[in-house]
Amino acid sequence: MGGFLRKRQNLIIICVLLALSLFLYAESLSRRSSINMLERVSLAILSPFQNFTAWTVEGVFSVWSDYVSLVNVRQENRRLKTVVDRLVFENTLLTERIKSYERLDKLLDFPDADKIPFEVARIIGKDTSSRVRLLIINKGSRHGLSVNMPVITYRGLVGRIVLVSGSASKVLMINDVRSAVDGIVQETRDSLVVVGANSPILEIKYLAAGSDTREGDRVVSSGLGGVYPKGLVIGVLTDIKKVGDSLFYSASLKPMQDLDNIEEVVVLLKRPAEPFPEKKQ
Amino acid sequence: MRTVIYSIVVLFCFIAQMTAFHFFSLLNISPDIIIALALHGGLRWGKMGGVQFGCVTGFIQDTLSYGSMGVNMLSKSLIGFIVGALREKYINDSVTSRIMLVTGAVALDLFVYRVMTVAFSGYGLPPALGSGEISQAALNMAAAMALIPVFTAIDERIDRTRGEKDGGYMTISSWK
Repeated sequence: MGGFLRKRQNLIIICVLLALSLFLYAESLSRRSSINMLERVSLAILSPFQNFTAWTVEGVFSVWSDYVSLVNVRQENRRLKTVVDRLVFENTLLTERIKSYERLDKLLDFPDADKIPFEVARIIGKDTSSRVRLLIINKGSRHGLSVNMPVITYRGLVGRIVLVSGSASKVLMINDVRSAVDGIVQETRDSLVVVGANSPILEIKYLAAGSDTREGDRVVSSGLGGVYPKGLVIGVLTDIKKVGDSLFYSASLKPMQDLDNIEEVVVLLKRPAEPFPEKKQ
Repeated sequence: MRTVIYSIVVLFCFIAQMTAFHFFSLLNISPDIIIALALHGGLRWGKMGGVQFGCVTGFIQDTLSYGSMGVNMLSKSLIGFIVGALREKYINDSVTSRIMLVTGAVALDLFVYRVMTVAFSGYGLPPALGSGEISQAALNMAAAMALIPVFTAIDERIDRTRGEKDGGYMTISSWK
């Protein structure tokens, strides 16, 4: 018996490894609580080190970018001043419009849909490989975060929280293959699904052929699916093509920001499935 | 002593992998230095040591990721095991063998990931390798070629400090 096992040692090792890995993978895909616990523990252990390393590396980079590399700052400053002037003007117009909407809301007794509490978080790490588009942020359950809360930047949607420990959380980005966001084209109101492809450009599915959608049209979240609130900007449509007799267009979506170079995010502390905050009388 | 030092090296690698490397990444891709660790395990301790070391490092990598528990554990264990088995029987040190080992390890890692993901998860990976995966593989190879001599130097240093002889590693100094 001993000789038999020794002879087939290599085969036995590989079979055991394969069985164990497949078992863990199956557990992981069904998101069992034991797997969640393992991931939560490892996140809790490593997050203080990551926080420190991110802080140190950012410090070194900021010394370089703030004090050494200041080429073209003067021209940049002049250009930005022009942009600021334009934005101030637009802001004045929009503030007036918001005020008038608020007055109408009061008249119609609408809930305060846009007063969603949020938490700003810093990115302290990413996934160990580039195969999973995952961010690690420095806020966790202690700050009121929980699973499935939407994560955005001021430019648009980033992803959702998938795992929370005390002081850190994992965010699955919209460009991961596991992500799918139900969206609508802002201009034409055509519905579609935005799917991640582990690349900077996202895929569009189920955009009806024959719609008036054009390249450059903005896509926003539809609010369906129970994770992302309605109206969050996801990106702009590119590469719209008709494929044979297909009922749907083939298209891609360019996010509003470079998803791989985000430093800070905003976590919306409310899911769309929850009721809107009560309006104060 | 050796276990403590190795734990620190592994911890350092994971922190560097998840944090610091992303600041220096090329085309938004950062290298998977755990492949280099698994390779080193196989070269240093043979197939049994290699499979154990690869299993532990791969398992840690899986717990730090999301929804891919078991994938890295399998690929890194196999790398440690196969490299260890080859080292025990066939490998003599040369530039060609180094390149072949690293290329084989990176290809095996990619193969395991694709098979597990496509066959069992149902996520739609394209059948052909994308430019991202090819760039990732090239970067992984470069990182492994650069890092293995560093790991072996750490090993040698531990041996010298403890007054031990080379633990069967394939011509450590020639990897530098």
